[in-house]
Amino acid sequence: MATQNPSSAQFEDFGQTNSTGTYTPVTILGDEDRLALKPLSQVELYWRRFRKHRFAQIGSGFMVFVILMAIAAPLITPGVNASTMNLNLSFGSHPPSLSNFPDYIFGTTDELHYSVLDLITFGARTSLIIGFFSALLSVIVGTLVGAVAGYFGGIVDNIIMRITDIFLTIPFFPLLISLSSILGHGSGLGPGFIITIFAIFGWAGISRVIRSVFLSLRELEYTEAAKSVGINHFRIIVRHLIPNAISPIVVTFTLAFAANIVAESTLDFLGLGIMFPPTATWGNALASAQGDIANGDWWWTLFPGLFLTLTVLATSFIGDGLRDALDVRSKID
Amino acid sequence: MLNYTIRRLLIAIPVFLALTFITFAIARWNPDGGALSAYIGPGHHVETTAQLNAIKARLGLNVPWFIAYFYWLRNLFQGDLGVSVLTHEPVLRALGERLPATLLLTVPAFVFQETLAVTLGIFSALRKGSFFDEFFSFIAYAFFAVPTFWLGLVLIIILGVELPSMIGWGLPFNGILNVRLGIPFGTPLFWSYYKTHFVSTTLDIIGHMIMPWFTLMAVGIAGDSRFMRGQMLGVLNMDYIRTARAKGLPSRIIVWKHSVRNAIIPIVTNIGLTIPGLIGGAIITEQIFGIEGTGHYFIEAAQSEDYPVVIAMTVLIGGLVILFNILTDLTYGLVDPRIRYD
Repeated sequence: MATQNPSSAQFEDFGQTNSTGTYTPVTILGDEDRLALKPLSQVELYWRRFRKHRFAQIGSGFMVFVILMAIAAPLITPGVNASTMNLNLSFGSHPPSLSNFPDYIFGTTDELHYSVLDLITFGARTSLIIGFFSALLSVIVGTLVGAVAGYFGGIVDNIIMRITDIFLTIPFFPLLISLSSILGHGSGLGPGFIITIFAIFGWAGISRVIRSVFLSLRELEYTEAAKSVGINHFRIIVRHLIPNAISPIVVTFTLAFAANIVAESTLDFLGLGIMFPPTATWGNALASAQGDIANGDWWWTLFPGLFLTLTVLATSFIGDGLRDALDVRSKID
Repeated sequence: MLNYTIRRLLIAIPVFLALTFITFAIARWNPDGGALSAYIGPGHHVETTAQLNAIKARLGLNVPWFIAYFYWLRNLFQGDLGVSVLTHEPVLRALGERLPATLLLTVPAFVFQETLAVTLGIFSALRKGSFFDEFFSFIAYAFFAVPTFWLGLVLIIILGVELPSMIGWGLPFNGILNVRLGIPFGTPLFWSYYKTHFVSTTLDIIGHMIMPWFTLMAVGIAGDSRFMRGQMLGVLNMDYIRTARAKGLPSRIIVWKHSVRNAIIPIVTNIGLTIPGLIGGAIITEQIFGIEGTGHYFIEAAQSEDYPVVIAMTVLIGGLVILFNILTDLTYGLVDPRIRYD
């Protein structure tokens, strides 16, 4: 009349028998654990990993803020032209103040008495549009070119890399300077022109990075396996290799976005890019601020540059979060 | 290896020629509106057609641009980079005068940058998640995000304007040498003065260069150290590192022999791509801090549409990049024995 537990003969039993004699076996899986075992979709996995990244969340928050600010620019401030109308401060530049809130919270500028907030909100529009579209274009072209070069190697790689060399050897920044001086003729360049130029000279560097990733990917066993079962090259690149290179592709996009925003601002800063008036950018706000720097007008230099820097910073946080999230080898815990 | 080197050099020649051709074509895009008006100067008028033709002949504008290109190319290979249409000074001589300033800016900055970046990257990766890693990651992020020109301006505000107004002492932010000295850097007069006033001049130069050096290399340190950290982490996750750990190799050997050597390959490749960034950064840095180097010369020429100078500078910088690309590919083979050239 020993215990009726059938397993007792084979192994030690951790189950419990309560006072009424009901046997409860050990629960290995709790309800939460069962939920966790429900298969997650790939996107859910990415999102879970992305949410782990604290800085990436902060960065996303800031980007949403800047994008909303850029969209709502005319609602926040009267605008770069209208703001000159309702100035009740005396002439000259003034440090940040709460009067006429929120117009003067970042101070006013000496030149035409704009408020720095105007320059920041309207400048955000130019920077974000140029950064996004130029990065998108160059990453698409760069990935395709780099993938083909790295995958096929040999003569194809050689030809593509020599073309890439030409684009890399034509130094991007000096060429921008010469193009602007020759085509701009003192009136500067338009946003569309800058996006095109950035894309034309941006893809080459990206394709080199992607190529070097593909050089190692094509040597891997699964590529050889895919080749040996006769899958065509295009399908191997698109279905098998690009998904494995998604992390560098996404990271290069965020890098290109940030780099192009900075490059555009730099060009404006040198007086060779977009001119103000009519178009306010963070770069040309800083260019006009430079003349006043020795007078101690720190706010004029500080705030537009701070927004520029924080936008770039937020972009790299997001990029870093995405890199960790998209890395198939990283664990979810 | 020798074969490969020769082949790469042979390929570089048409690449270089293509570069010169495109650059020349762009620079001559608008020759009459650009170079000619710059040469004549605002407020001056050319009286007769004969005068105009004489000026055009002098500038090489009286022949079609592709013929002018061949003349210019022939001169280029004879070491004649052209003559500025504004100052009538040969480009080569002007560059020679300005090169010491640019080298003083770029070479120390580059050496500091790469050394610091690799070291910091390795230690961040080895102590992943530690306070050092988190703190330095944040600093690196911040500096990577800071645009060169804004960093320079903020440094000037803090160390050059606000600090002197508070404690009466700050860093100079204009030029390389004390203005009161009255001697331009790099001239023969400067060198003879430097020999007799070695210590004081060196300190003066370092004082002037601290902000420009830091401005120029901050982005590079931030970017390269993050890159090195990423590569190092990637390598440390590799199976062969786990194998090395499993068979009980001391971690010193795992880190320095098995990991760093593999992680550093992309860094070496990246150096070739870092140089153009450094040259571009030097152009901006020279503008901000009033250093009259080659970048300053280039911007001046671009602003005044001095096209012989613009094309000479673009081709020279492009030539340097081609050279660094070749060197990069060759070092890539030297540091990674898995890559063979046949």
